[in-house]
Amino acid sequence: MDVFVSGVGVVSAIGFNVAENMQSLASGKAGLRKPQNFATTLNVPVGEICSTNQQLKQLLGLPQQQTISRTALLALPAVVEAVADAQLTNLSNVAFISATSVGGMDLTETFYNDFKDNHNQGRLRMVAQHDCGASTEFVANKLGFGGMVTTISTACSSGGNSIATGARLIKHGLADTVVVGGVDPLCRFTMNGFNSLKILDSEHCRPFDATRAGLNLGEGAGFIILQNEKALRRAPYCKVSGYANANDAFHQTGSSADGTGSFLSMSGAMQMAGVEASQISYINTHGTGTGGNDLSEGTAIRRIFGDNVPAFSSVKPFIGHTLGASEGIEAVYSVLSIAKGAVYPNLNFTTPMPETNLVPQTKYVSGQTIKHVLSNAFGFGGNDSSVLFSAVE
Amino acid sequence: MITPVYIRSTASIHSDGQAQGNAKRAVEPDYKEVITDAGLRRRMSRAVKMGVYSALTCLADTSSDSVGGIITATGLGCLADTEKFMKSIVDNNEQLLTPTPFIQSTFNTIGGQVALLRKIHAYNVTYVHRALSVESALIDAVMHIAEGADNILLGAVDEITESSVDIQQRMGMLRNNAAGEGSQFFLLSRNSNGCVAQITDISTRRGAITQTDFATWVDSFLSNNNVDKTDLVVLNGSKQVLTNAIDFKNQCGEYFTAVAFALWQAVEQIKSGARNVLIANSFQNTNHSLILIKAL
Repeated sequence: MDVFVSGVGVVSAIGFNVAENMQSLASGKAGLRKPQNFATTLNVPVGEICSTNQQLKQLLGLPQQQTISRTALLALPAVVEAVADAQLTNLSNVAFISATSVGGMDLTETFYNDFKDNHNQGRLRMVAQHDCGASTEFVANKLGFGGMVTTISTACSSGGNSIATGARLIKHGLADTVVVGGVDPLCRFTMNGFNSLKILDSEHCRPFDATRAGLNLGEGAGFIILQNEKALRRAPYCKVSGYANANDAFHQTGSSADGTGSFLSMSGAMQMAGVEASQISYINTHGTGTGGNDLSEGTAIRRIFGDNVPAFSSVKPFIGHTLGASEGIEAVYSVLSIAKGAVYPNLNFTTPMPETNLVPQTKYVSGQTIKHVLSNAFGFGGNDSSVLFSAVE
Repeated sequence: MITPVYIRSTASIHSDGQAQGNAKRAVEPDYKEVITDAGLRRRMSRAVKMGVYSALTCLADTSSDSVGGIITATGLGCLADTEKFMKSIVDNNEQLLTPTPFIQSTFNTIGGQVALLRKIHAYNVTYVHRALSVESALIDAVMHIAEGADNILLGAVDEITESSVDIQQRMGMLRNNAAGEGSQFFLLSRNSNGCVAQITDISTRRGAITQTDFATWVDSFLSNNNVDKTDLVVLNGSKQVLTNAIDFKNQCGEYFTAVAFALWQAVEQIKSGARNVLIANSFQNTNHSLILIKAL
């Protein structure tokens, strides 16, 4: 059974909707800046969304006094945009699978400052949204999704697994329409986590470059609408033709040098779709800019594509690494790559990694014939996921 | 109705039902028998140790190559490591932090550790949706087995910390029961040979539900599955009144993935001769599930 993509919605450091994101990608406008919306001593660039929580609430018509995690405030507009794009009207049977790596951590951090030394202190409503399901429930209740509602958390590959699970719900007849994607806010917890691992670049990240020195974190949300044919209310953008999830089983945080997990996830997605390496038009890589990821992913790309590597790039220099949201946001970009024939530039690239000698796409192009886009998301715990989007014949 | 799946083996770490204050803590095993690396044991939090121990125990007789997937569920993940790292951020003003608690704070830590320790490259995912985390994992496992996979390791872990108990206490969540914790893993199979029980059906609901609606839901679930109520053991984790039911949370305490303890208990009931077991669960009258287990 075919699984179609009929709607997209995105909020990121380069735009508050799909049109703004596409415009920034086309004009090469990166969204990285020093953190301004939350207190941190870490002086590194991040893909921060300019709007404060107060501004987001105003924009979304939500009461200022209501305590809502930034996670939920970022997810809601992206889901609303995707739902409108797919022209969905009756949401009572729509399923919703969200993904996040930190849940409502932004609120918990504030709570914890008061709670730490006295467990009778701290406002409880600040910690009530700590769990990952809270933002999902908030959005589901706002829109009235009546189908299956759940949340996945596999670190930075969370969004990819949400898409695969949604596609499977449709194939099993458990849903006709599923909203899938992911969300993560910037917060001190993840900033300091990645800093403690010494993989934050103090400059703008340089994926696949020999001089790459780490990643920049980002925040945002990206959701797409998956539907079976009978549920479609508009011409779809493309299909989800394949997906695969594999485990690198090499290290809790590091990636294997031979790219075992990413090789398995990319080749698994292609195998499911019956698509050969030579048919792939574009790879939206995970490409974080860390030494380990880009070497591992690059090696896996060489293993699969040999000397005939298709156009590929990482959009992380635009939006940062948005963790659980990354494959949600980048799925939107991948879907529109097919719809617009666009390939996005890998900013800040000058020198190929000597180990793979791979050269990413560095200029924006559109109007190409893009039939199959492979999109990767890899995470801690060895969790590797790839999704293959294909043009509707 | 779902494609039935079969339970090949189980492992559980759970409370003996005795509360200390407001917490029913799990009775922990001697971890070194299964997690043999002393350095690894030292770095692992209780949640990770409970999860890895029960997962490895459940997989003891299964080769890594034959495992078709690892699907874990947790409501709050590795809370102790999360708090440890959060505290270190504040105490050290974001400088020179040790990454270990951050690395182990991610919700997929246990699934990743099991894959790493047993070199399992198969499908690996973690569901984190409150009191429907286990149910989501089960639905995923059922889909995988229907797709042709075999030997799916499914498990759930949640841990108690001093902070989590204090917060739940202040929220008024412990009026009827103590806070609970535990870790259960199940090896699920596509064929019944050598298995102990069948997971026959699962149904979930979100949002507040009345006593009448809950009773109607239970009745239609049982009749859809042709189960005679006179030949049924009921494990009740809801506040709804169900006839002749065992309150399983009286033993394991209340927590997001408590239903995994009930699933383990259901298998024990079947081993003792029960033919049908219904698990009925609710959490704070917001997440509800029914799971039917049958003897083979």
